[in-house]
Amino acid sequence: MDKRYMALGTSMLVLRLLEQQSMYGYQIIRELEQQSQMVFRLKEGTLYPVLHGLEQQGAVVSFQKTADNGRTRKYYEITSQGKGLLHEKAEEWKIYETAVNQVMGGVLFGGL
Amino acid sequence: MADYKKDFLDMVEEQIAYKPLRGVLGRELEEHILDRMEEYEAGGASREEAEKQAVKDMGDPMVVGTELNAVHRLQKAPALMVMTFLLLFGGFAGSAYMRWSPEQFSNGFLYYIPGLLVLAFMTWKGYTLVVRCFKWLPWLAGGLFLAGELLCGQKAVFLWQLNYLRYFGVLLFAPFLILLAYRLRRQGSKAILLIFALCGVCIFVPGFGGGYSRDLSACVVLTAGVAGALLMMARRDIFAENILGRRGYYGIIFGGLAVMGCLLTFTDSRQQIFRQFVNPDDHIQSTWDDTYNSALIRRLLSRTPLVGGIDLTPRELMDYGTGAWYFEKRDPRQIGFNAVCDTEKKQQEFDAAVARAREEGVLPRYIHFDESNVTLWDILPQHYHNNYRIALLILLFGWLAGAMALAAVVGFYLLLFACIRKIRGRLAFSLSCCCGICLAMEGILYILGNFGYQYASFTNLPMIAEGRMSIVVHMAMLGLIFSAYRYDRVVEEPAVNRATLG
Repeated sequence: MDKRYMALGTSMLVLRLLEQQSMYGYQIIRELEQQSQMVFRLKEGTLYPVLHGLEQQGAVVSFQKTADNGRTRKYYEITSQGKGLLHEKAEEWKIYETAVNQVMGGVLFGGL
Repeated sequence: MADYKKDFLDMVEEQIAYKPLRGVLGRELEEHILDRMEEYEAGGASREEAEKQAVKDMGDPMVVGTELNAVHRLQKAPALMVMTFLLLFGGFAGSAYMRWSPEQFSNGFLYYIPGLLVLAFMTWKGYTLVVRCFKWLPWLAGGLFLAGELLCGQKAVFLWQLNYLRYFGVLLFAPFLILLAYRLRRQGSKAILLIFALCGVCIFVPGFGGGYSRDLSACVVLTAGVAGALLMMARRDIFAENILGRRGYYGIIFGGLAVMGCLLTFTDSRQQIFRQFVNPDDHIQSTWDDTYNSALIRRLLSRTPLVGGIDLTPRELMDYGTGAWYFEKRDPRQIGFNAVCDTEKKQQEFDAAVARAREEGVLPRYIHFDESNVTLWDILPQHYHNNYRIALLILLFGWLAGAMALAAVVGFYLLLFACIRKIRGRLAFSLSCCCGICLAMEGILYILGNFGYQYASFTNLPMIAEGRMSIVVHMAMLGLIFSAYRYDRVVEEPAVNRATLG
């Protein structure tokens, strides 16, 4: 897939997950795997540049929580700006998806 | 035994150009690897196998590190920096030039040296220090401010010189209030109300002391800086969400601004200052009044051509120097009289004139020049040279030169706010907004004063027309903006540690 759409897809999915609840990086990866039934399996380290980029855009904010085992975890929370961005990305994705479907559909129908 | 985790983290961190950030980013990745390892170990894998697989799942450390480095990089603002140095050089040259004028022997220009050092230090360390001292800085600043108010109170006459620092104490109070607002941002409207309450105390309490007008312009700058920054914070949704949303916050902030406006005019003397600002001509009593200076400057500016300085005959210069142009038809007792007493007769005339003036309760100027030697410098009060620098530039070189200077100042502020707008960090943005608005507000008040509409005491025009302490304080505020922009992508904002997970 085009790198741009890959990035668009990843940040959109991350924002969608954070819209449900605040999560830390590993939790996001787990949710992504589970909710996509293991279809989306990122190279896990690449999630963090995406998260930090979203944080710098103001789409998410981070805070820390200490877990039972004493480890400090950095949670990410979507902001209202992030919700706006998610809406924009979803619209952009729809255009992409429609375009792909039209091309794929056209080729298929043409072949029939 | 191979240390997969350490090797991975080392390779990622090597790609991060800003070294202080390496540990922070590494810790977050390490937590992730440990979580994944726990999962593999729970599934029956040995520790080594779990670590190896968890690290493999992370992907290529070079890619992760490079992408993180692209997100977190130091930023530079070369255009703004060049503009700043041009204006600083202009201000320095102007101050040094004024020093040699016959009217002003001030070494104020020397303050540009510590000013530059402060600018360099604040750009280099300012924002990182704020982040490091985030927890206790607002309280320390509040304590210092309170101590300053008590020590430099109007009644502490023996410390009267420290009063000059109060202006800057009030000015610097603005970013610290914003720092506090940021700390309490999750309290939403309560935080905003608290900030306005503190701002109100700062404006309200000293109003009962004498000689307060000197601080009133600082209070206006404080109010503008705080309210402006709070508005920008609300616009970026920095405060916790409330039922009414952004509009609710805007309402509270404008309400607070209205209350501050009332406090700025709640006594007769403050109302008088406001009236003098909007209508100076109605409040001129003598040639010593600032309102007279306002009228004089407007008169002189109206006579200055587009190119080249104002051209006045010796007779006209004498009229302006003595105040005759204004007071001849209104109150001739206020016209200045000759104080050059080179003969006994002249001395007697001077003594008689002084005695008569005292008897009548007026205070005209003593004139030490005549038509044979009067210059433009003689007709301008001493403090014109710093407080009316734009006006003076127009008088000396014409409106075109003044317009160019104003364009440079406006250009600087446009670049400054364009830079602030790009700052993404919420704390960095809030502080920068506050400092930027304070600097801009000082400039606006200064420029208004240069065109004959002076509000309360004189403010300074950052970089161009500085006093002594002002250059140091302005450079600290400007340096903080530069620093916030520089470290915006690399310094993590102070994390809020929420309730420990159960």
